[in-house]
Amino acid sequence: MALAVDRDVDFESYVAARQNMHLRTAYLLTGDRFLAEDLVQTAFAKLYLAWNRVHDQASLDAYVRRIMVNEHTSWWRRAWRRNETSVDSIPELPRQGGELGGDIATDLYQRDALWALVRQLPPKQRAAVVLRFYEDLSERQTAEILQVSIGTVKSQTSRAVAALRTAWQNEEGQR
Amino acid sequence: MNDFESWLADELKARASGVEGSASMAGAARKQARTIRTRRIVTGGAIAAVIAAVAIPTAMSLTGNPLSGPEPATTTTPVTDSPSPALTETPSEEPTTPPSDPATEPETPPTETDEPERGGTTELVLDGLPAGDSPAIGWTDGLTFHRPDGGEATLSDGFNNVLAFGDGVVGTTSRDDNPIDEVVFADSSGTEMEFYNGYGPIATSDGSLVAWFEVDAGQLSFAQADGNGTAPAALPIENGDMLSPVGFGGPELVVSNVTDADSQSLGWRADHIRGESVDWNTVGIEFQTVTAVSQAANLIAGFTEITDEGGCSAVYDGPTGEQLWDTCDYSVLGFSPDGRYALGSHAYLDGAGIAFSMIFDARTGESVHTFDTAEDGVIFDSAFEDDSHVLIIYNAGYDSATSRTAILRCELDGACETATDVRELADDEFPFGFGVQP
Repeated sequence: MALAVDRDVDFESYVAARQNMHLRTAYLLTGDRFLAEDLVQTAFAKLYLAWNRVHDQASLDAYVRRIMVNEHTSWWRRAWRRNETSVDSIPELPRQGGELGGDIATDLYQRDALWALVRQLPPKQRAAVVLRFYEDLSERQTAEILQVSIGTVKSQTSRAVAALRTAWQNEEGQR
Repeated sequence: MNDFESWLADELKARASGVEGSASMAGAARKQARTIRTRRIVTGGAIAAVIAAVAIPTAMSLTGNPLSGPEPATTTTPVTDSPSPALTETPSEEPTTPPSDPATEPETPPTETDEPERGGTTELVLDGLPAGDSPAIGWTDGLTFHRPDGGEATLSDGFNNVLAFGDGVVGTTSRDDNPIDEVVFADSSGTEMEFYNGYGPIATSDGSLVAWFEVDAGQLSFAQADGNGTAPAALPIENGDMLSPVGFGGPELVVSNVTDADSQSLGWRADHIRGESVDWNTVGIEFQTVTAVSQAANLIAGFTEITDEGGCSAVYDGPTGEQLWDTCDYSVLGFSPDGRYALGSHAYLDGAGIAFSMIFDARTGESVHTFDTAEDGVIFDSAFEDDSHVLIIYNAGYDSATSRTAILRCELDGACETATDVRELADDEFPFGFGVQP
């Protein structure tokens, strides 16, 4: 019983400290705040079940990231099997102009357009991009979380970046 | 990082910066955990998850040469403590319910030869070991697959679960736009010849027959290495089950884990490749997921339960359906080619890394030997090379700047030698892996 109490205290302490960090990663994976909360809650639930097998803080964070990536990919797969292409709706790209003018409007347009393109990436590529460029993880750390080889991380990341760059150039060309 | 990548990184950080939760999720997560616990079932991915977490598939076994090296690499001592720093419990030395009935012994037990002294532990090291032959089972070094016959094949990036087939290889790969794995046949240069949406492959112990599940056709498909033979081309799976083949339980018996279309586990099943009745007593064998099958000894192992503290595993005799032993301290991940020994590790494999590999007596669960890691070491994978040697991909200095790795060949009494060069790893390298074990 003492063990269970200790686990609850430690678990609550971890959640309080890391919840927002994981929510931000989940948001980048899902592109949706509500889905992000669902994803993090599921990851925390599975972490709770595995609590006594994962010890240090770094392992806990990696464990939660791995669950989030796997769970998100699983959601996407289930949707794919129901003949949907994505769990996320693909947003329309914002049009330049509007109430703001000049550099500010251009900057906002470019940022929104890039984010929209990121949201269209397949989940594995998107996870690679988020882990490498947002979390600043090494290729090795990313490989462990994605459960793929280092080479696959490199290829997923480079393909994703190339796709984003090409799509971005096409967007720019149409403006 | 170039300008575009820097801009991408900045944008991701900016997008995420405003995201915050309104209240602690701890309570809701615990409630959801209780729900998960009550219906938690693992699929065949449980093993793949932890192994893939260190980027290594499982292995195949053929024959190997006896060691010529000296005494065990380090001192051999009785198991007295938990062999795993990742576990909070101290695993017991014996399985939970070792069988006591002599009637459980096979009618024709394996020949007693060079029985290793049982119950010892060896802490793995990389330095000071004699150099032995290269692995005699299929293994990968980067994108080169070393076939058991000594030949080589070039693999395309992302090619996993490799198995020598004819002059080429068969394995799995995943495409960016396809959530289902593809089973791919390729020639020795890596050129893909055929591919199918599906899971597998597995092979009979002599490597002559390969099987995989084709998702689109809803069938188990078969191919003979020599292109001839009398095996059928396919066995339709009528009820919509999605199969992940685990191994051959007999020359014409395929054992698979089963999921529905939503990837929810439905347990396991055994299929005769010709659709004939299965001569195993499968009724009482209640696995959540099967982890290993022995064709030679007709044994089957798997997880019977997943708990908060880990998992429970068991080994059954397939033909009789009798449970030989079970344990909630370890998992059972493979059998020696003759089915006499089992290979195991942590009770539940969650991707945190493998800190020890353990050899059991396959029919009793008695500990034969434990291969432990140093504090900064991790086992990427292990597999039987033959009936008396195990191969271990060991990494020393994991997560440090001076990480080194090699494939070690160890006898079942703990004597080890290197089967590859000891390689210093640059960051982000995992050079070695094993192929699929027939």
